[in-house]
Amino acid sequence: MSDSNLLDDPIFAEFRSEAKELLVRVRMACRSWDSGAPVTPEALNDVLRHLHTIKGNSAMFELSNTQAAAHALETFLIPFKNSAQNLASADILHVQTEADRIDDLLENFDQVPTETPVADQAVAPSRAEPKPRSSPAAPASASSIEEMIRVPLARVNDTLNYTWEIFLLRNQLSYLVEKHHASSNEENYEFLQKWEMIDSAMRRNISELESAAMGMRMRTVSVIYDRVDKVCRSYLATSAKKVEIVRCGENVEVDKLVVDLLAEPMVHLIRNALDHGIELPEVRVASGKPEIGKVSLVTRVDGDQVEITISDDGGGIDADKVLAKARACGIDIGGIEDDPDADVLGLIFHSGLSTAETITNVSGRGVGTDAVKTAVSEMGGTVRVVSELGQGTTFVIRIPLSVSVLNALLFEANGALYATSISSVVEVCRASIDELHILEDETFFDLRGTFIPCLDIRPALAGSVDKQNEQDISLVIVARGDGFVAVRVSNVVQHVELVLKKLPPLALNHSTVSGYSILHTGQPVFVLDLDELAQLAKARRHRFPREVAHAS
Amino acid sequence: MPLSEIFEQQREIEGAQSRAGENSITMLCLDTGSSRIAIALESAREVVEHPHIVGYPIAVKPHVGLANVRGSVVPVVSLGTGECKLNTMIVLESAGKQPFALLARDVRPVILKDSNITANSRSTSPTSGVVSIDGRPIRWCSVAWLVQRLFGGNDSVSR
Repeated sequence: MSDSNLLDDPIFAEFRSEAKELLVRVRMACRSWDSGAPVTPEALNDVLRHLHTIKGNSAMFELSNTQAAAHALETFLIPFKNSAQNLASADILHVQTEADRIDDLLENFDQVPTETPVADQAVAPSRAEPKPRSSPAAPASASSIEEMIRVPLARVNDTLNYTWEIFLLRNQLSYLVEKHHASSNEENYEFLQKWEMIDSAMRRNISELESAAMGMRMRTVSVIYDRVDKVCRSYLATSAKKVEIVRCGENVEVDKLVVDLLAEPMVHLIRNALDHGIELPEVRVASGKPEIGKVSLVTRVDGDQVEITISDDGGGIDADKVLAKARACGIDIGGIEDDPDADVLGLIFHSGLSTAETITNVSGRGVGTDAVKTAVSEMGGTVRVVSELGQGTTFVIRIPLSVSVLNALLFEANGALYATSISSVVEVCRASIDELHILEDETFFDLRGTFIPCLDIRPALAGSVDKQNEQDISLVIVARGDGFVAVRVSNVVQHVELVLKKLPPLALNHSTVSGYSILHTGQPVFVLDLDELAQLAKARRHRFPREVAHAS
Repeated sequence: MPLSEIFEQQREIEGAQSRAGENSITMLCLDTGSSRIAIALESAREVVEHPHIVGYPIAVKPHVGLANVRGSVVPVVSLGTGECKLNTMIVLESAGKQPFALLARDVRPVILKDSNITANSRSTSPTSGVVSIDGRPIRWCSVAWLVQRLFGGNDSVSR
C-alpha cells in the first residue's frame, strides 16, 4: 500500500490515532513506575497488550519499521512478566525512549523506507537494583471501568458551535422581550415574571449543555508534559548538562484547543531553559549551586484561569543585555530604560530578539518567545517573565480554562462600544481628574496611596475623543508585569459574557484586536487587548489636558 | 425594502434580460466613492441599504468595519476617497468563498449586451475592462479583480 494511499485511508487515520493513544498509556505507566508506583503483573500486561496491538496493526499497513520496533520492545519486556518488580529505572527509561521512537515512526511513516525492516535489537535489561516501590493496590473492579465511545472531534465541535449560537440567540431574545415589554401594566408584569422563569431555566440549560460539550473536549495537560518529557530526554541524551525535571499538576484538565495551542510554546520555553538557562555542571558547582539543575513545570487552576509556571534555577536573563539587544535590533523601546517600573524583560517577546550568546540547533534564533506570546494572546491569556541574574528564570502563563465563553467588560471610547477580557482587569473605577498627576511627562493615578501609570487609549482609537465631562473620568485598572496600569476610557458600561469569535478571513487584523462577538442587540463588537492598546497609547505619549504639579 | 418591491424589481430585471436576448448580462452599476464600476449582478449575494457598520478600533484603508448581515458577520471595505456618504453595501464573495461587503451609493442594475463582458465578468480571474453606460466610461470588473484591488489578491488579511 503506497504512502499517499495511506494518507487518504480513514482506517489508517483511525489506526494511527489509536496507536498514539496506546503509546500515551505506555508512557503514563512508565511515569507512574518511575515515581515509585508498583509494577504489577496486570499493569505490565496492559503495556505488553498495547505494544502487541500496535505491532499487529502496523503489520496490516505494512509499516515494517514500526512493527519491528514494537516487537523489539515487547521482547524486551516479556522477561519481566514473572518478575515485574525487577524493572529498574534504566529499563523504564528504555521503554519510554522506545515508545518515543515508535511515536516518531508513526508520525513520519512516509519518510522512512518501509521495506527494510530494522533488525531486532536485543537490548539487555538493566542490572541496576530495582527502585523500591509501594505495595500493590487492589485491582480495579470491572464495574468501575467507565464505558467509552470514540467520537470524531468535528462532531463535538459542531455541538459546541450550536450551543454558542443558542447562547447568542438567547441573549438577543432576552433583550427583545425586555425592550418590548417595558411598560408596567399587570398583564405585562405576569408575562415578565413567567419570562424570567423560562429565561432563567434556559440560561441554566445552555450553561449545562455548554459544560457537557466542553467536557467532551477537555484533556489533561499531561499530553503537553509528555511532549516536554520527550524533548528533555532527547536534549539530555546529547548534552553534558544534568537536569531534573519536576512536574506538578499534570491532571489539570483544559480545553483541547488550549492543549493544542500551548504545546509548542511550552516546549519552546523548556528548550530555552535547558539550552540557555541551566548551566554546565562545573559552572553550577563553581557558583555554589547544586550540580544538577532543576526545571519545574507546574499547572494549577486559579478561578476560571489555568496558570502554568515554567521555572529554572539557571543563569537568569540579563536585563541590560536585553535592552542593548533591543536597541541594536531597532526595536522602539520608548524611554523604557528611564522607567523603573518598565517591563524590560517583556522585550524578549519581540520577534528577532535573542540575547543568546550562540545559536544552537535547539534555540537561540529569537523567533520562539514572540510565538509564545502570540499563541497565548490568541487564547485570551497573558504571559510574563520574572528573572534574577544568576538565580533563574520563571515564565508564568495564564489562560482562560475555557476559550469559548469570555467574561468581558463592555466600555465606550470615542462614541464606540468595545469589549475586553476581564482576565487581566483588576478593578474598574470612576475618579476625578484631580486624582491624576503629571510627573516628567508621565501621568499617574493615585490608587489608594499608590501611584500607578495612567494611559489614555482614546486618542489611539478611531473617532474623536469625547471632550464632555472631563472632570469625571473612567478608569480600568489592568495588571501588567508586576504592577498595574490605569487605562482611561470614555465610560465603563457593564460586565457581559460573550462568545469570542475569530475575525472573518478578509477582515483587518491588528495586534490590539483579539476577535469579535455579537451583543444581545445583534451588533458586532470588537474584543480588544487592553494591554496592547495601552502600549500603543504609551508610544504615542498623550497628555491629559489638566496638569497638576505634584511631587511623588 | 419590502418583499413585494424586491419581487417587482426582480421581475423587471428578468423581463428586460429576456428581451435583451442571449449574450446580455445584468450588471450592478455603482459609485464606490472614487469611481463608478459595474459588476455582474449574479456576483452580488445581497444589497443592503443604510447598513449598520461597526468601525474598526484602528482603521486602515480600505477596511471600514464589520456588519451583521442576517446573522453572518462580514468585513466591510470601501474604495471611497472623499467625504461622500456611501449608504449602500454590496455583499460579495471571493473565489475562496469568503464574503465581504463593498460600500457604495447610487446602485442600479444595467443590462449590457457584450459577449466579452458576459464571459469575463463572471470569471474567477481578475479581469476588467471599460464600457460605455449612459454615455460615460464605466469600468466593469470581476469580483476577483476587486479582491485584488482591495486585499492584494489574498483571501486573508493579516498584519
